Amino acid sequence: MRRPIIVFAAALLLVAPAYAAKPKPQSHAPADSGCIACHGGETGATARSYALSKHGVIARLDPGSGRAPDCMACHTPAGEHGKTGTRPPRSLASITEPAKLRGSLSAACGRCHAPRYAVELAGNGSRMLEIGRMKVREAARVVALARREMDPKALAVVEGRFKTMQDVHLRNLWLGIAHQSPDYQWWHGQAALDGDLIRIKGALSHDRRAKPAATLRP
Amino acid sequence: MRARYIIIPLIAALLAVPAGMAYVDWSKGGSGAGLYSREWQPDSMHGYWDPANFYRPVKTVTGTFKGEECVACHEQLTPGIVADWRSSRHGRPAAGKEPVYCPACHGNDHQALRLPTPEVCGACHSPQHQAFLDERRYGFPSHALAMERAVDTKHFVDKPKAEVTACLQCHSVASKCDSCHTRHRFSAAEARRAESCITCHSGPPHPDDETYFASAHGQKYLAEGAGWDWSKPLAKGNYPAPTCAYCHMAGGKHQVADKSIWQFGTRQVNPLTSENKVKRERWVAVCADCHDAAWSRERLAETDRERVRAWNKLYAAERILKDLRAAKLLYPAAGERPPYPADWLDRVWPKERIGFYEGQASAFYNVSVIERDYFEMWYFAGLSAYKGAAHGAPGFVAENHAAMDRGLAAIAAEAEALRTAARAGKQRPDPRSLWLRGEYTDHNREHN
Repeated sequence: MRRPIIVFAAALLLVAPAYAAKPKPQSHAPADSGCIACHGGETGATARSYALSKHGVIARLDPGSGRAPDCMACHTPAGEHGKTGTRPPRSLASITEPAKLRGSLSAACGRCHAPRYAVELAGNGSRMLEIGRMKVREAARVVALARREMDPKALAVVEGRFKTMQDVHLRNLWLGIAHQSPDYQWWHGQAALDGDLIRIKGALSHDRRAKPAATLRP
Repeated sequence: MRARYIIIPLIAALLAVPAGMAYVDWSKGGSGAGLYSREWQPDSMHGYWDPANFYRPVKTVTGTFKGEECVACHEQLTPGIVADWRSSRHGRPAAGKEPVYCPACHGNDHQALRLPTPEVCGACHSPQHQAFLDERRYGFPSHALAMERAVDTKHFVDKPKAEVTACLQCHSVASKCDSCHTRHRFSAAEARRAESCITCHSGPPHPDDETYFASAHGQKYLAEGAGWDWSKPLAKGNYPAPTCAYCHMAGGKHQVADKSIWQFGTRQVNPLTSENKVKRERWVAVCADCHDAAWSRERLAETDRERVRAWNKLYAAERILKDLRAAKLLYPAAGERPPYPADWLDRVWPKERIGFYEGQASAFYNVSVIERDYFEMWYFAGLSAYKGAAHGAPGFVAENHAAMDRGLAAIAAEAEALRTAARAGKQRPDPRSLWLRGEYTDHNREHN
């Protein structure tokens, strides 16, 4: 009589971890719509870059299945809340320091992805972002020249373009990396930054052409 | 007629052809991939898109394992994967079939696992895999050729590899079968839905997602589609409105290029060639699942007319640019801006590229403003107008034709400014360093 009970209890203990590790339903977490309402809306880059990613697509097609992470799943990986209640302390809000993120990455990505995959992707993302920053820094030097040479009206166009470069296109690149949207990484990000760089240089060049030769600097 | 006039060219050709093939083979043997593989080193992430070789063994796990053993461990380590697999037909097969466990696709030696390539999937899913491979003969825009197209493109080779990793994410549709029916659930129902395509089919040169969702088909799908039975095949009568796969992969055929006429809108096409007429009738046959055939033919002809209008504007802009080039008025001209490292010919004989046939699709950075303006007019506005017409989203057509009109006006104005500057002798107002040097520009030269 005791033997079957012991065997049964042992079997229960063996399978218990499997049940513990099953994907937890997201029922208590706020739905994405709550996050999106403040974070740029449905058409903003934050929501769009996620919606276009494979995570976003799977979450949309298979809602509630836990197959893909929603906002809360990545940004508060262990259900933790930020100390201030507004910003999770070790969340994936920034991917600029992959070494620091290693712990968060395993927590957020490890349910479905091999650790090496997540870390490689983060490393690549970091390198990709740095290239975007190089473009911005190259533009910054040209803008510095423009500030010395151009009159305020013409300069305003250049400043506007530079602001867009940083606040929109570099941000698109960062969001594309963080949310894994190839489109936001490339067309809305890197390729757009290329265009900004060309136009900032072009505006300075155009201005110089319009001026008398004496005002040109070597 | 001397025999030598035939024999010498014949021998030259007989030597040249295998020599050319050997050269192509040699080109592909470098550290990168594709025709320019000897010109670049991959970023470490790129290995992921070579599934057969990406895996690195974990030192702590040795031995060969049976499927049930894989599941027992991975249920703890990667529970999401196991949950997906359990809900798939691999894990929960139809009556009378055996489950397909991990070793079937990944191997069973934990020191020598592999990620599956299409060949691995094709071992069981032969009709789909064969159709996929067969699509190569149609050329662009075959999914099966997408990776080659990415790695052989000049701007992919030329730019830093960490930057262009973005390209591989979508173009890897050629190397992996999980782009549309994602792992490890591999659901055909998921792949039939429109959203499964939008990760790649979105953005300025191909706003397929936005144009589709704005169309009558897309609006109906958005309103009602979640409630349709997506387990049904893509066939007449099964769906009230088509999604991407319904039209582009009619019947579930794993080919998209077999009836492609417009080449993404990248260049002008004659829709009335005999080949294109045959393809057109195949499109009409798909539309005729729901619509009157003659009506459908007329709707598709509207795209033909839109394309003529678009190319009239684009060619007008090209003429302006080519005139400037001929008058040596483009600034900075080729030779005054960084050459593309992969292009030795560009260094020997620098030449500005205008239009599709000269390869301008790869020349959207390190070029003059007016060339970039034309690139955007063509690649963003022109291609978006095409997708608007093709998907039935008139708003996108109008908006992008207006953008092309503005683009043409801006190009004409800039051309005039360049001519005026030349007449005043102020064609080159900048030191060479403005265009030739800079943090990204220098990095790109050394690190492509």
